[in-house]
Amino acid sequence: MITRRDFVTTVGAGVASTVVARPAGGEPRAQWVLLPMDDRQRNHLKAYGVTFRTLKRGGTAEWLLNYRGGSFLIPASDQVVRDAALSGVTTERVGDVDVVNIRGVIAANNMDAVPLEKAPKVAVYVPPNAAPWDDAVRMALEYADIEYERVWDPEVVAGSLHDYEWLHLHHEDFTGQYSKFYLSYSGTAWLTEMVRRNQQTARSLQFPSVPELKKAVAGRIRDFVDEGGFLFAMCTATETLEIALAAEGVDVAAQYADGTPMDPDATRKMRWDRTFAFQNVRLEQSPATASFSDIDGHQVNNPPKRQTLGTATLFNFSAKIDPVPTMLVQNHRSVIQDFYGLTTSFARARLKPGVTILAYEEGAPWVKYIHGDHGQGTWTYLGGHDPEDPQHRIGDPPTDLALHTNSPGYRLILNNVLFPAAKKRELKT
Amino acid sequence: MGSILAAVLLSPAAGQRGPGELARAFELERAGQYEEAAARYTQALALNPANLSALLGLERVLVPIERLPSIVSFVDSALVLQPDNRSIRSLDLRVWVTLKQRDSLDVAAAEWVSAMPSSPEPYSEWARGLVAFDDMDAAQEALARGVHRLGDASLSKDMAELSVQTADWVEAAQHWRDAARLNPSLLSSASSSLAPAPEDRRTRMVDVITESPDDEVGGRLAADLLLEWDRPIEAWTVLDRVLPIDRQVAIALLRRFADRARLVRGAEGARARGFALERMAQISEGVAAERARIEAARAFVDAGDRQSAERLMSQIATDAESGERSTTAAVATLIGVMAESGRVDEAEARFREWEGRFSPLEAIDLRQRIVRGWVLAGDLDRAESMLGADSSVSTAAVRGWVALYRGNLRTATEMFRAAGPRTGSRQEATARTAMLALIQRVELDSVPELGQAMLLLGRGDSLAAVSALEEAGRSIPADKGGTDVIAFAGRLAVQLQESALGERLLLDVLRAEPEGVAAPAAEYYLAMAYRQQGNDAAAVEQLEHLILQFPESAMLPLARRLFDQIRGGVPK
Repeated sequence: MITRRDFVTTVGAGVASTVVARPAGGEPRAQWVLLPMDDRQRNHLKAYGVTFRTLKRGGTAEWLLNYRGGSFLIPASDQVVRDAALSGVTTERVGDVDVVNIRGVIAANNMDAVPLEKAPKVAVYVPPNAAPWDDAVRMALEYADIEYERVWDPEVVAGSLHDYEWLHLHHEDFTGQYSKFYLSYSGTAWLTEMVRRNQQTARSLQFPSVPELKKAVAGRIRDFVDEGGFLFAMCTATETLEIALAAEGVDVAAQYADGTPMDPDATRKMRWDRTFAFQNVRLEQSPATASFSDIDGHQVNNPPKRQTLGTATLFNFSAKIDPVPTMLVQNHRSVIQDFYGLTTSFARARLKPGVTILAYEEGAPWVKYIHGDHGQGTWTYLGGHDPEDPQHRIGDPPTDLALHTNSPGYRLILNNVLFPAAKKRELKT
Repeated sequence: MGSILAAVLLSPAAGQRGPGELARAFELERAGQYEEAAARYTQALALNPANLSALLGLERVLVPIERLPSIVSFVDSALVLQPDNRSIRSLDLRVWVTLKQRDSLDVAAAEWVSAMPSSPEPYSEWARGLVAFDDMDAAQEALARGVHRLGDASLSKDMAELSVQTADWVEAAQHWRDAARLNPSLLSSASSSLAPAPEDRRTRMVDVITESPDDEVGGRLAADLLLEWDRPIEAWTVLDRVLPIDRQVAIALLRRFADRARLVRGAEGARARGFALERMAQISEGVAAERARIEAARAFVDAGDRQSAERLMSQIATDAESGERSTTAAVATLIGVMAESGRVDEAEARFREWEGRFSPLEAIDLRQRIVRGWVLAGDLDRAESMLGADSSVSTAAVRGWVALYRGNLRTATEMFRAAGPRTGSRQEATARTAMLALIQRVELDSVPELGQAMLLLGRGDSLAAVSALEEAGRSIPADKGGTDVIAFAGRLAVQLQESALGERLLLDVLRAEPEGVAAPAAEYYLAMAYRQQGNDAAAVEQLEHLILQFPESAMLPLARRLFDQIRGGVPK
């Protein structure tokens, strides 16, 4: 397993130490394939898939951070050329001389070349019956044809997260309150099924209630990061994971979820020292309000507090000094249209010191995209549900990524998938 | 707080500062300066403890600064002065809910009940407060107490809302029906509250709402819900049964129903709309009746119910003595319906009779519809004669089709070119452009067999058209467009889900000209044929070949999409 600590201590060595990749025979190859990731690219999303599959086949690639939108450089082979052609990904054939020139440009600018050497083993936390179309990460993975496995509560509780390098969470409610839709959507078939399935799972795993099961799952996820895993979460999974982690011994669930009302003094009793990103959070006490706390700046389902959508600006990091956050913000756009989710954004006032802000809304008291270290691993949170469906409502038709092949928002998700593939390098010092 | 109060009371100018304080408080609140705003609201209350605007303002600003408990003494003072003030009583309860003081909520509600024993409001607000505590049973009990004291009717709306929250849909339906009977203006609230009910409860809910068959309000509510649930014909039946005798009221109800039925997709919605408009025509008079009848006929045409449409249009045409504009429109609709339903002779006769009264554009449109009627009837001579000397671009398009059906490819090509790529609807323009692309590949001026095959296709006999197209294609040399015609036949077969036939024809094309102009489309439709046969592996192989072999082909976006769909990369 690649751990975050191994990765961080080795990846920042800079372009000077980058060795031109050579094929097994030892002779330099004359030809390379460049997947440009600027506006010339016809299908940004599938370019990640082509790179991932190259690694999966045992090949190597380089991620040219900040070079033409974060391009990929891959030793030319029939398989890569064929895969790119089938995927509709724009490629440019470049020779060794061109590569030397590219490296010169990288050395002279805020850019870096990060070798990618191993496709990470990806797990997505999702109930077994869920279709992929309501989860932005699964949509991105399916569309880019990136292999992943699904895990849910039984697998997590049994400790199977150790088998993976990268874990994704989307809109799971780790407080065990069914996204607090219990009252407003009572009687609907999908909610009934969600409740039934969760309760059955809690019983079979011998937990007294769904909220208790989810707390245990949250704990396992924290252990996974502690031990070097890469965690990427979106939407309400971000906020509720943190609440579940902080709620050790505190009843934060409404009566409908566990048979007892929420502890009226829950906010005071929370243990924020146990979480990744947030602190001093005030919990939403009403079971009828589909909001969990004041972590979310937009409060989409809390009409008196709901905020309108703006834009999020990606932070421009120094590629040679901060390669990890640089990888996470690679894009052909520096500003992206914001999009709602049950948790849309993160209040600045609730962030722990040391959290890296990857994207923010100018002048707003919230940020969109954050990252940090924990133990030997890393976590990354992106607010919102679906980058190409800003208003996303329950029952909306699924997003068809074939119509959004250049989506800057979806690129942020896919940056996270490839980032654990970066090669460990020895520190210069 | 006491010192602020005392200071204000002692101030000689206090009496003049009341309204000013309030305005300043509002400004501070808008600016987000809640502490300062609270001080100003407090000063206003010192002058008039029952000042409702100040009380409500104070409530708003104390919540974000977490000082709501300090409002309690102000509310108490206000209630001493105005114990019957509903707004202050309601605020009293709301404060306890926000402060999570359940016992105090119960006490405040009991005080309100004893202050206003005949009012349903205390029970209603009490129940709402209890819902916020997530105690549905207690909320139900509070309302039950009110019902016990004041009777069912007074709290039906609250009972209904609570039942919706607890997902007791049938009970909710009954309460909403009762509430709407008392106050029909609640009908739209009732239907929007009940609309999300799960499917398995809906029929029972409708039964409860329409328990009394003559109940107009119940019928209207049921009709609204059935429309929401995409059951328009049932909705119409229910509404029709309870239409009031008052003509104006009935017309308004019918208009509303017809407008809402327009939002229901599919033929059933259009049909229900037709029924409502027909009924409207029956109870209206003069021009209004005629307009409703025309609208009804159009709705029936949209629903595919030509018989009903004709019945209505004949009535208009027979009754019309004057040449009024609305009558002309009715006759135009009638002619169109007749032409499309095979009564082309009659349509043409009526057109000739009324021709002078139609606008030029109306006349061109009708002429073309009659031509299409003759084409469908297989009478190309009458179709051509109907076109007359009209030289408009839309008529050029129709002439092109008639020439094609005669097998006269040269004329068809000229006419389609003259019509240009944008004449007619988008669908018509696309079909014409695709046909032009095909016949341009056939390097012969006249191929009657191809014309016959296309006529079969135009008349809707698609399967026979495939065979005829294959035959026509084989009669044309391969290098003069024969392969393209067979490829077209293969594609048509696949579109008709005749995948085996399509596969055979398309494989013939690819064997004959594996790299010809028709090859990319042939490969794409061949992949579709494999998909229809459940052979996704063969489909993927074919698509991969197409993408790699013809990277510049216009078929590529379609091929990639199908490729992604088979892989499960995009929603189907």
